[in-house]
Amino acid sequence: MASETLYWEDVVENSEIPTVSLEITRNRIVMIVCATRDIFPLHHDADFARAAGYEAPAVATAFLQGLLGRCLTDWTGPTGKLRKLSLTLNAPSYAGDTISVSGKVARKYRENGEHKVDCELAVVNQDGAATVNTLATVIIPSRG
Amino acid sequence: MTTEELSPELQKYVGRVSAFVEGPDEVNKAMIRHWCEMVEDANPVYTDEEYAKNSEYGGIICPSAMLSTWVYPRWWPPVEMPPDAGPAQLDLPLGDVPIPAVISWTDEYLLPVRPGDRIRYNTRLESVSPLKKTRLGAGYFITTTNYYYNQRDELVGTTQYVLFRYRMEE
Repeated sequence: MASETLYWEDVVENSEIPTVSLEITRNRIVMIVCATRDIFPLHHDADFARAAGYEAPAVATAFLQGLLGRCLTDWTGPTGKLRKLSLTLNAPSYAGDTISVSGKVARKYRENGEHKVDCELAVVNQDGAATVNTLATVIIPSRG
Repeated sequence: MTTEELSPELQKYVGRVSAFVEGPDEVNKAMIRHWCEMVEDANPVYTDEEYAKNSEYGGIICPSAMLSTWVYPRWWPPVEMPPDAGPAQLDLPLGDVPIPAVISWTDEYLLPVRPGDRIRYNTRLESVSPLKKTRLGAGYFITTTNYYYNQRDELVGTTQYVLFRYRMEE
């Protein structure tokens, strides 16, 4: 469980952020539709998805945001605050994929009295393709 | 590659702001838990009452990325949106560009959102590109921002979408 506090002083630029992975099982497709409220058939209906030119149901972006957020606060601990999450969507993540979120620290800095860390993350599927590239800013506590 | 200038007709839509759309439910612990189950997020400020009470927040907050979830329309009965509500007002006379592709999606989270909060949003059309040709096809890049407010009219966050609406070309 994410309960250890990451302090700004302990963050090292270019260091890695621990990876989180999830398998997009059929059960998870159902959970995603229920939790995001996004019932658009592309996200759960294989026939609809294929007719629209997709390989399989493609997950809602909100799910990927949730997983990216989890990856970041697993790393910072519960005192970390997500300030900004910017996703560039390269390709869909499909039902049946196993996706991993990983990344590194791009920069740490102080701004407006806050201790900030910019991170570069990617969502990568089982074939090694980066389906989403992400820039995130988190605010974490300082020992000072 | 730019193929033409943005028409004055489209230009006049830039800067338009929609009416507000209210989320169907107040922020609640059940939906927060469903979200945490979805991504297996064990952050105790989302689901552990005791921990959250003793945290800087003084109680449960929701995962930041849930912002758009709180304003998703109910599934039933059908929602009658006023014509100037939400993105509907931003329907642009773009001609035959039927395929939407989200290119980027940027959230900024400004204030914690808690159970009991009521979230509403409006949408501003930030920009429309002239007709462009890409490897997908010919179309327009459309940038809109959603502004999310709580019941105290505090801005809790924003979402900026860049959408490419296009038609395939041979």
